[in-house]
Amino acid sequence: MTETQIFKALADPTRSAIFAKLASGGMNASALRSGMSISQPAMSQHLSVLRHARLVREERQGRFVRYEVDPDGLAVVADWLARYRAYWPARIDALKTLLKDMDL
Amino acid sequence: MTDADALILEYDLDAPPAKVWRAISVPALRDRWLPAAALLDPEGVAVTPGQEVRYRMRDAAPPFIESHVTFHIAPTEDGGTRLRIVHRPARIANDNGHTLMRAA
Repeated sequence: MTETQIFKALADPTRSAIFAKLASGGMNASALRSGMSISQPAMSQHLSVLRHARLVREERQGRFVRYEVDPDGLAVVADWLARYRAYWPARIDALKTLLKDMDL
Repeated sequence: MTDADALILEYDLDAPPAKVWRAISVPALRDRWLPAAALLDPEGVAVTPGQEVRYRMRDAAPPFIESHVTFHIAPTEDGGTRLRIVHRPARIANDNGHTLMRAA
């Protein structure tokens, strides 16, 4: 797993949506597909990419496989978000200074 | 917010929308609070002129994750401006490695 792989996996809007859905709680593949217009093979493929990027992990429960967010990959995404959560306030302070300096 | 991989921030600015629009979209002004070094496209893309502009960014450190940041502005009741920042890893996979995985 690399940071690049993780963000490449999330660059696809469908995979980003799958990841977001699992972030609200683990579920099996059919629950995951409900409400999304995506075929079962396509879902399997997306889940496979997400698993290889360590964004999603699976747990077998009897006949079902339950998918959930993998804390390893989630931590990398959280780090990226935290970096920019700290970045923007300083930029906005600079923007406010500029707005004061600008003529109407 | 339903995204697990996007940063969404809102700020109230004490300046009218037309002035804030210039500050976020005119390169010479934008450069004074958001340096071009952080951007892949210093000109930006006006998604909705006067309301929404988008830039492509790249992390300053390896592995140089690319991202998209959108600034959306709207007037507030007191004559000021609400600035909404949506910042997320780039949605366009610019590597050929995963093209096959994109079929949905």
